[in-house]
Amino acid sequence: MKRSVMSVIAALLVGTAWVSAGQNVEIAEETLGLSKVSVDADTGLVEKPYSYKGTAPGAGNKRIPRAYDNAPPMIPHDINELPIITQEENTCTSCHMPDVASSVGAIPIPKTHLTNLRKMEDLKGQLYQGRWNCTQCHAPQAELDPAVMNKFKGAYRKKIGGEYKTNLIKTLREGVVEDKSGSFDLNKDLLEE
Amino acid sequence: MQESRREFLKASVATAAASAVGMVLPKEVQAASEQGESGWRWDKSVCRFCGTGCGVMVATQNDKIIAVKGDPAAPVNKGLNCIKGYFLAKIMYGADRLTQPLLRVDASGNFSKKGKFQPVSWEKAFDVMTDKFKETYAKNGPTSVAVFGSGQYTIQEGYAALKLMKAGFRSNNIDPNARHCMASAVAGFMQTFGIDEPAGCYDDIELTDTVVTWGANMAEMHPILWSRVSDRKLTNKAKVKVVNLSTYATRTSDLADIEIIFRPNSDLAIWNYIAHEIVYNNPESIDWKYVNDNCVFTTSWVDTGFGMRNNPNHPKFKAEEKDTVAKEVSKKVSSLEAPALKPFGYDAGETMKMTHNANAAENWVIGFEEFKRGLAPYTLDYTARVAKGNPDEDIETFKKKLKALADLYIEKGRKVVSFWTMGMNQHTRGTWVNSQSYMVHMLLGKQSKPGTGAFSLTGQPSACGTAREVGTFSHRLPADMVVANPKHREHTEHIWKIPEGTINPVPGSHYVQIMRDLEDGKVKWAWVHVNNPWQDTANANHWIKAAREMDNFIVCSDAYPGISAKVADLILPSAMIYEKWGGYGNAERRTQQWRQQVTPVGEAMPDLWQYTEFAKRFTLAEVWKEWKINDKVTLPSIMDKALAMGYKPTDTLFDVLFANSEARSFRWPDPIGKGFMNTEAAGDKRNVVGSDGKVFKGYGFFIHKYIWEEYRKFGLGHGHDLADFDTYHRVRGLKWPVVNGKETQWRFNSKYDPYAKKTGRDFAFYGEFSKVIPQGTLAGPDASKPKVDLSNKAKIFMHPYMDPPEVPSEDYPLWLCTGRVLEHWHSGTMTMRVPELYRAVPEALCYMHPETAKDAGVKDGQLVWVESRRGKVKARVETRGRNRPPKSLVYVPWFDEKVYINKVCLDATCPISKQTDFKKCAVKVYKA
Repeated sequence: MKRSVMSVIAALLVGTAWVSAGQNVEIAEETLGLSKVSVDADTGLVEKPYSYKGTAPGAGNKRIPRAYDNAPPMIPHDINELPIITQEENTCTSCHMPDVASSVGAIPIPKTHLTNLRKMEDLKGQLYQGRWNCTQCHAPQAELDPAVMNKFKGAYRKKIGGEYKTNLIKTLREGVVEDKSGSFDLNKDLLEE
Repeated sequence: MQESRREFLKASVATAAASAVGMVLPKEVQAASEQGESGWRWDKSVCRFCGTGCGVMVATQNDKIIAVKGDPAAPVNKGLNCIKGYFLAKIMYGADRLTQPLLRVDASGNFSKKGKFQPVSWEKAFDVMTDKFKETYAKNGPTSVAVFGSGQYTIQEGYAALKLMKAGFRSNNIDPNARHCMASAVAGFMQTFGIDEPAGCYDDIELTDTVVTWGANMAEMHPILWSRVSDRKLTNKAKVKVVNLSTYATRTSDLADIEIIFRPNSDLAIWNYIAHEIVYNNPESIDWKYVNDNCVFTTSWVDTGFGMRNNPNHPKFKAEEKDTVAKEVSKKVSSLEAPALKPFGYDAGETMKMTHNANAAENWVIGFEEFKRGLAPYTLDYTARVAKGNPDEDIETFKKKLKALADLYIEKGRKVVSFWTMGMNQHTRGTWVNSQSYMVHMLLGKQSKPGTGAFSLTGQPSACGTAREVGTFSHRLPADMVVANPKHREHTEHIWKIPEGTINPVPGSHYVQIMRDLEDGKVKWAWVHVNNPWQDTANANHWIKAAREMDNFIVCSDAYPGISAKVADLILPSAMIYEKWGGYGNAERRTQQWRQQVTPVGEAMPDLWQYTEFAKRFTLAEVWKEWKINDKVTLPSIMDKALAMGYKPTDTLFDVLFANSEARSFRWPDPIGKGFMNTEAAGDKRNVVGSDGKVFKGYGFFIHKYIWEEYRKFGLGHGHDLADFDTYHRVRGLKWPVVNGKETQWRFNSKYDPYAKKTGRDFAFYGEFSKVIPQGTLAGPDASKPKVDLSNKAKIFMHPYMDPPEVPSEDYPLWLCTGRVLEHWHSGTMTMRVPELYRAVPEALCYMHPETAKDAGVKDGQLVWVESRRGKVKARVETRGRNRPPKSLVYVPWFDEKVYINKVCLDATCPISKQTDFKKCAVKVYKA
């Protein structure tokens, strides 16, 4: 019995439900992958441009849930108009540093970011400069359906604060078993020049 | 529950130990927390993406990944990941994961090249791929089959692939996508030091005063290293300087003190300008003791072509392609490059006949005076004329920047680290420009010392660990050995317990050559693993036709259907990173291993299993017979020798290479895997029906550990020492050579490197490759003079500036540069399936200057055609984004299969390294 191509593709797309091998089904290469066109086609792009979620910072943009416990949050507001982050300037910090965040309704930069984990040093409220480049972990989100659905189910622990909060500073070492044998220690093993 | 309780106690001990050595943990970090309560299992692992090699803690529950975090114990990243690293949690769960083998079939279910895909069993998949393999192998021999390998192979996978191809099939046609990524770095290391991989390590960042990035957008491509650079810079603003050299402005520019936008290819001239400043204007800055003790001055041929086909009239070329390809045969010396080529005997307008394409790597000693003569042209005026890359920049401003750059290098006592990645590697003179970095550092005595040195970064997670160290290249064997060297073959055959004479001495086809061989009908069977050759190889229109229209059979093992899967004849579903045991080696020589965390999806199986199951399909009698390789070389039958070693003609390659008595001595279960699964060793809960039509119950031995312990025999005592398997499952990686259990920070420096110390010298560049070479002048070697032995020394090369083979012209007025973006990995097959990463950057944009857009009559968000002599692709315009090119250049990343930019790119390579130059070709841009 011949099943329709579409239902087979649907089965493939949900992944776990796969058809028995050798069944009389056909999958055209054009239906595979992200571009949904032949590899000879000029392009798989659609004409319509897309835009990013949210309006200017601080305008009541709806927060985006973290992907899982302590995952970095994505940016729910427009950053197009913000100046780029340079040595001198970082506009993100002007709203997100903990001392101002609550007054402007921004998510405060958490304690992990105010700690130099390399030196295990509490920076007493100062931002660790290795986290200066905010967009290394946080990105704005285009208003588009995902190219492909993702079946990952992140877990959140209530104790941590769930989808919008973090306590990573407390749980960072959870499950970490450290063994430094054989490792060079920059503080002890570096010789005089 | 018992197990997690024990882990909890161990964690407490670790915290106590940390306090005992005087490390002050912030109060909150000390909390060993609610381990056990939640039923989560945390285990250490590594990142799947770039060559930085960050440690990642992975949490699982009910056989699924549920969270990840940066590993606070990992020296590379100390608890921090980049955005891709944080979404490792999701990459295995895209809804269109490949879960079954898919074969192109006709109406009766038989394989048909023109058929559509149909799900088949593993057994049928192996039946068909075996038949197709044997069909061409029996008729056309070992050169008619090929493997496209990867710098993302686990070390064990790469080793199995190498052994199967080189020991089993006696074919050297295995080459990794790492060829596209760091082959020029390898050739630079081999040419300069005689041994591969960096001398330094990431701790150089915290120790240096100056970071100079050359064609490396570290802020996006090595974000965690950039985080370390940012901290170093911003907490020492006055002292620490950052200089970014690039052909367009990037996020790396944003943090730099000086940004130098140079004309594509002119990095060759800038390095020589710095050396000119040293030698002519600041001779007192030369560290003569360092140079005299450790270095010699050398050069090599310049008339070496550009790694294209040597026949511009090849029938597969379009008419438009021919003028560029003709430069492989000869070219006119341009007025721009003429002053640089004058010391080598060329004048402007003269025709340079390309006569040394095949022996481009040959090099010889020239002495300091001749070296100095080669440097003479690189005055500030000439260099600025060649190198200024932004037409809108004032030449005097540009000169000041060049001078400031040279001053930073030269300043006495100032430590300088030069980092580079694809800008210098993907270059038709990539080997040269890599060598030039060592030229400058060694003249100043600023190499192989803490905080100072030239440091080649790699792109892929195991470009070093697998592609380079295992040697999954067409010319290589493990631990820097090569197939062309009879001693290296003998040593390898000894460790592999295979007959003397098994290994084919003729190097196989490199990555781009395999594509050309497919197009020419020479390779008729190819297998793709852990990479996406049809998306990642330049001039793709040719290779699509080669795959779809020639009589060949292409197998693509992948986790998701990318472009290579779409053009393949058979698609095999592969297990992904945390669905298997594995090891990776990063750019600072750090080897790291992880355990299988979860069961693979569907019927997906590890790539290692795919190789070993395929090996079961071949008896020794079928493969270890006489084979003609070319008109000069015929491999003799080795069956008699095999019989004398106790092998039988009916033994399979699986029996001999992967399941021999030594392999079986590594038992599973093993204490190091307690509580963890091992699909290859024991099967898994899915009861996948395997290649023989029966449920796969596992090999019953610990194949990953066996492979590791056999593999490390290659390096022990040869400067590539690795620790035992179990050690890597305890520590956060170690930088090789690991001698007496200790890692090595700075190679070649006797204070830190036991191999250097053994020589009794302060420094010893102890690599043995290409260390006995002729003497001569810039014009060529002098056969009348004796060869020189350069043991323990490194080479300072004189290489001139030359134009690339294709430069902008009236018809194609713009440079095109390709590359990556922070949020996506390589061809995007994994990261485009993570909604957060997809939404962060849903498309590959065409970054251009606002005036370029204006000239094309387009606005941001509109579509343009980007067209070269080879092909065209549509992309959306961006003029205000993170990349800000000058008017003369456009940048289009290659991660997006919808914007198939490699249809446009030129497949010219460095003639020595065979690495493609993806950073420059000529295009026009117009409204779509």
